[in-house]
Amino acid sequence: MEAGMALNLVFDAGTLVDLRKEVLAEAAAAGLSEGRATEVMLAVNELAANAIRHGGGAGTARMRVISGELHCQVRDAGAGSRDGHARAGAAPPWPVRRGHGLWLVRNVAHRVSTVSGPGGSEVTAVFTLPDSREDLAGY
Amino acid sequence: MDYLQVRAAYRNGLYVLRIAGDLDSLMADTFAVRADAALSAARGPVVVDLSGLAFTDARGARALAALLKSLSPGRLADVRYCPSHVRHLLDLIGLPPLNYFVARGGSAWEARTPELVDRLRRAMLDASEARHTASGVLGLLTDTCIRVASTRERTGLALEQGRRTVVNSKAARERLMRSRQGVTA
Repeated sequence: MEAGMALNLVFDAGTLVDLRKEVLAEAAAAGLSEGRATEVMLAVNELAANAIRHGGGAGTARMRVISGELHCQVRDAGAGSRDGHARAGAAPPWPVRRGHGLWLVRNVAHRVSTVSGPGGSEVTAVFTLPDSREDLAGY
Repeated sequence: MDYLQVRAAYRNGLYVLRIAGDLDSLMADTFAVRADAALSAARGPVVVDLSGLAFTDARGARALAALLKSLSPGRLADVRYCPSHVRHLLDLIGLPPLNYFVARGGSAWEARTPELVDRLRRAMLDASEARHTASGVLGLLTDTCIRVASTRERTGLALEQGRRTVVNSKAARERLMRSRQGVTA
C-alpha cells in the first residue's frame, strides 16, 4: 500500500460487508467520533453498492488523510460492463434522488466530487477531521 | 454471500419477525421476498424485532419501511429494539421512526395495552420526580432571591452611611477652616 494510504481495497458483492468493517475501523482510527465514523461507513457503502449494482459489479475503495481531511474514494469498473470496459455513451451510473445513495453521501460528507469517463466513474467524499493532521501525500 | 437472516416464530401469542445481520442495498430485494414469505404464515398481530440488525443502508431502510407500511392496519403490533444506527439513518434520509407504522385497533391494540399501561406508569413516575426536582430548584431560587434582596438592603445602608460620613467630613472641614480664619484674623 502507498505511504499515507489508510485503506486500499478491491471489493465486490461478496466482500462488501468486510469493506464496511474496514472503513469503520479506519474512520475511527482517523479520530472521528463513533457517530461520524458510522456516517463515513454509510457514505462509502452507498458508493460501493452503487459501483457493484451499476458500475460493473466491482470496484476499488481508498481512504487517505490529507491536511486534516479524510478522503474516501470509490472507483468502479465502468457502467453496464463486467470486464471493466464501459459502453460508449453510457449514462452516469449514479443518479441523485433525495433520500437515496448519492444524495445521502452528499449530505454527510463535507464535499463530494465525481469524475466519469469511458473507464468508469470515481467519486471522492471528503470528511473534515476533528484535529488537523500532517499532509501525508496527494493523489 | 448471504448475510441477512429473516426468522419468524410465535411467542406469547404474538408472531415475532426477527431481522438480523446486514440489510443493505444488495440484500433489499431478497429481504422483501423472505419477509413476505415469513409473514404469509402469520395469523394475528405481528411484532418486528430488530435487535439483531447490525447494519442497514438507505435502500435497506426503505425496504424495511415499505414492509412495515404494507402490513394492514392493526396487524403490526410493535417494532422493537430498533438500533440507534437505524434511527439515525432514517432521520438522515427523511423517513419517519419505524414506530410510526405501528397501527392501533383491534387485536393489535389489545396486545399493546399492558405495555402501554406500563409505559404510562413509568412516564407518570418520571413526571412526579421531575416535579419534585423542580420544586427543590424553586426553593433554592427563592432562598437566593431573599439573600440578594438582603444584600442589596445592607449595601444601600452602607452607601447611606458612607454619604453621611462624607457630608459630616465636609462640615467638619468647613468648621475647621472657619476657626482657623478666626484665629488668623
